[in-house]
Amino acid sequence: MSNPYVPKSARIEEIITETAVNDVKTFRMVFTESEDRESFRYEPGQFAELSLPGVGEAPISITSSPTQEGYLEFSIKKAGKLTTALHHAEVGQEVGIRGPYGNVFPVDSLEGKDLQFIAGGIGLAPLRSLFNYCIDPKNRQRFGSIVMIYGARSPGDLVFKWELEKWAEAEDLALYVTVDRGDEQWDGRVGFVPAILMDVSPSPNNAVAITCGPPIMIKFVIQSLEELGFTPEQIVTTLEMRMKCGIGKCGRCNIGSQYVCLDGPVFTYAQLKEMPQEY
Amino acid sequence: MARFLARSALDEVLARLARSYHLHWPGKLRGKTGYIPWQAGQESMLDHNPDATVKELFLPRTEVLMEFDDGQEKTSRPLAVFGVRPCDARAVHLLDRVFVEQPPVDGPYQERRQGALFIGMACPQPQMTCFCSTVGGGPFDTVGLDVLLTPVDEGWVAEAASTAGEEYLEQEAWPEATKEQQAQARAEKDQARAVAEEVELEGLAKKLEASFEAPVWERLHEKCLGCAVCTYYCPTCHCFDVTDTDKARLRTWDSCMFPLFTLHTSGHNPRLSGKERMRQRVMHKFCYFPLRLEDHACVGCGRCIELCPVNLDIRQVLAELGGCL
Amino acid sequence: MVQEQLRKEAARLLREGEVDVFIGYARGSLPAQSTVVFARSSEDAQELVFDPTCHPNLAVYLPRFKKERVGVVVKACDARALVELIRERQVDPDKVLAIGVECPGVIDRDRWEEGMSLDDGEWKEALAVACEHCRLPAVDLFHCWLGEKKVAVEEADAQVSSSPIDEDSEERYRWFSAEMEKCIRCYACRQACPACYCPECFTDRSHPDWVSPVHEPPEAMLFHLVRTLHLAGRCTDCGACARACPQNINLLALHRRMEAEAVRRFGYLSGQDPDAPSLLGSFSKDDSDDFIK
Repeated sequence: MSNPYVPKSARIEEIITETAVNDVKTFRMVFTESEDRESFRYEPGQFAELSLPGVGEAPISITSSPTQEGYLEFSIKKAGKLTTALHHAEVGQEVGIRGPYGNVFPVDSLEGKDLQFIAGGIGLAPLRSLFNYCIDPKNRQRFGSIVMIYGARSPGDLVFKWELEKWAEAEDLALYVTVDRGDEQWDGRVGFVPAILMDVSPSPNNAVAITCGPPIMIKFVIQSLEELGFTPEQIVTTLEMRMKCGIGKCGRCNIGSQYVCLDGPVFTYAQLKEMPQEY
Repeated sequence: MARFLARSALDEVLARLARSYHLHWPGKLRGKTGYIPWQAGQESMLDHNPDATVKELFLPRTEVLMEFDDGQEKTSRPLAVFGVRPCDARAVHLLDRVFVEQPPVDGPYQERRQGALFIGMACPQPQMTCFCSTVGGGPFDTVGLDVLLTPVDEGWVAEAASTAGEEYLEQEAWPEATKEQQAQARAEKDQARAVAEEVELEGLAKKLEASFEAPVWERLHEKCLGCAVCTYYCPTCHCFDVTDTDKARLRTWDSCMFPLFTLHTSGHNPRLSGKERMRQRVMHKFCYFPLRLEDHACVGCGRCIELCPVNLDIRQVLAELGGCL
Repeated sequence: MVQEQLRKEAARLLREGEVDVFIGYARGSLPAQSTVVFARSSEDAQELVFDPTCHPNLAVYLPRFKKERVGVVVKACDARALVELIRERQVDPDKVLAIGVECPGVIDRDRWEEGMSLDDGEWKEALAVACEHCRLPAVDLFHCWLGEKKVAVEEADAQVSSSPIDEDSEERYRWFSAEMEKCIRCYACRQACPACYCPECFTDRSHPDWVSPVHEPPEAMLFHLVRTLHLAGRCTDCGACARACPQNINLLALHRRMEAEAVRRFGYLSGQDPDAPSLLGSFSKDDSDDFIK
């Protein structure tokens, strides 16, 4: 009998320390078996349950894009039991992966639209999958203009700095990086994400905004977007919830009758407005 | 065809069942009652709806989801439950919706469930806490059952409720129930006390959906102590936790009444107080489950009513919700 | 009688605005079971009842009310719990009006048999264990008292006859294991206990996870032993935990043993005087030190 709780085995290939305070690391993982590499087909927005035997499991969003073949990437903040153990892991260690789970960013309905990405802190991780998917040369012409506003509390809290540099040089997208508070070395923008959003002032015409970050940032970003004329249908976000099974059985990640693991984690603001405020 | 199982033949029938099945029936369990493995010579408690639910056989309190050292496949006989009440059988039928019918199939659950035989005992004398008819069941309901037994003089009238039940009765070849026995069984059914409470469930799910912020919840939850008696004794509550030991990944029962249930690692908790947690329990049973899976996640067995330390009676909660919204 | 007086006084308190809410018992939906009512008007107060089915300890609700003025009906055991809550600064005595009621003892639902009458003393067959051992706080805690103040007072270190908790260790461990095997960790005991008001119980942490959710006796033992130790000198032997337990675990044996130790070693009895120092928070050079070897 097939047992959905049994993970596939993967190996950590590379570990990138993302933040100065050392609490976010990106793990590049490769399935041990080639058939698992083939069968694990995911789309931007989905998540997987990562596990270490004897430690436990945790749901983590897949930050790599399906256009990056052969491996998966997860950016993980050291917070709980499993994530702490992963932070102590070394290259070569085996990790269990099951998934992919959850719904996906509505890629088809984004076609032909101007895309406004707005991310805060580690909230860039789930958006990065879609972002890299959209700017991939194979897909780039399917979308209109692509803008990314990314902010963190301090320069040390910015993640994916190695990739931000690449994005900054790209010609077919606009990148705005900001921090709440700068330091001596920081010569970039200083200011809260919602304020930068108002400065950039993207037009809502034929546009979709995709946002993820701390709840308080999302709240003010949505206010700003509405001020700019974005309708709730034009605002897309991805939610975090305490989860266990990831497959709609264990009964804890629901918001009203919606299960974040099955019906989410991607929701439009229009959908969220119809749901109880319990997230 | 209705058949007759004589009380005097019971021991033989059970012994036969136990040869092909892992047979359980109502019995004493650590000072309370539950569905226990059958053994020859045990005292019969077939007239009793056990304290512990039949759910435990299919969704044990602790269950190995996977062993780290790749233990060998266990081969075991399928489960059979003799004397299960219609309410508990219906509950397992509801659990099937979540664990089997809604993809993906939950392997460990399905393994226990597959081939399980439910020989049910009709319930001519429901308790004060029973309200199965209100939630779509009934003391003679056959949903989830393979065979329904109705107590008559000297034994039980047996009727098949599924193909597996038909096959079982065919194979057992008990004598055909006499006209008198059948008439007695019918009379039992007709005279069974109506256990419907004055609770209108028609359209309740939609009504509840619109009532999430209703002020009535402030009052309804007030006496709730926030323990998990209601959820742990509920035959349909199925929320679980997944944790590791050194040897295995385990599934253990969990309860939406606990603050830890929804506590994020960041410290944020979307259901911060008893109000939100009690609302979740009621909503899951009578709103969210119906909206997703088209049935109430309550079978009216009344265990939560009987055991709640402060008599927070779900029937009154529903009546109030129905009236107040 | 007591019930009529209670309704009248609670209604008056609510009508005249002396309290914002009055917590009492109301008729339950089952014969042996009262329920709890939070009366906010004098009309609500007409629901109040008092009889042997009123077994929960209502003091458990008091720490929830930080701002409102609360009236509450208390039996002797509930009053002892209130004393502890005042001592531990969980309840502001100026915001609580306690109406003490003469209590004939309460029913243990598990001892109750259908058809037992409440009127003629037949229910005494189902008397809760804790009631065999009742005592009234010494202080003038009450806003008023209804009924006579006759309450049986027994020695607090009375032995619990039904458990081998004081016998030799092997037998004791067998008994304890068997009790712990029953525990499903629904935490009804903790939730029904007025002294268990910690905003976060040690069992409610996932990181570190002191207790595993695995259904095994050692996990249950850990929970109950930690809880018992945490209740040392604080448990007032009201028995609400045992009555809330759906698995009939003999919790009183544990807690009474702890209480007896407090009496024997330190002459300490909880729930008597809100101004008395706490057992664990006080030191005397005469304290017994025979546990330090």
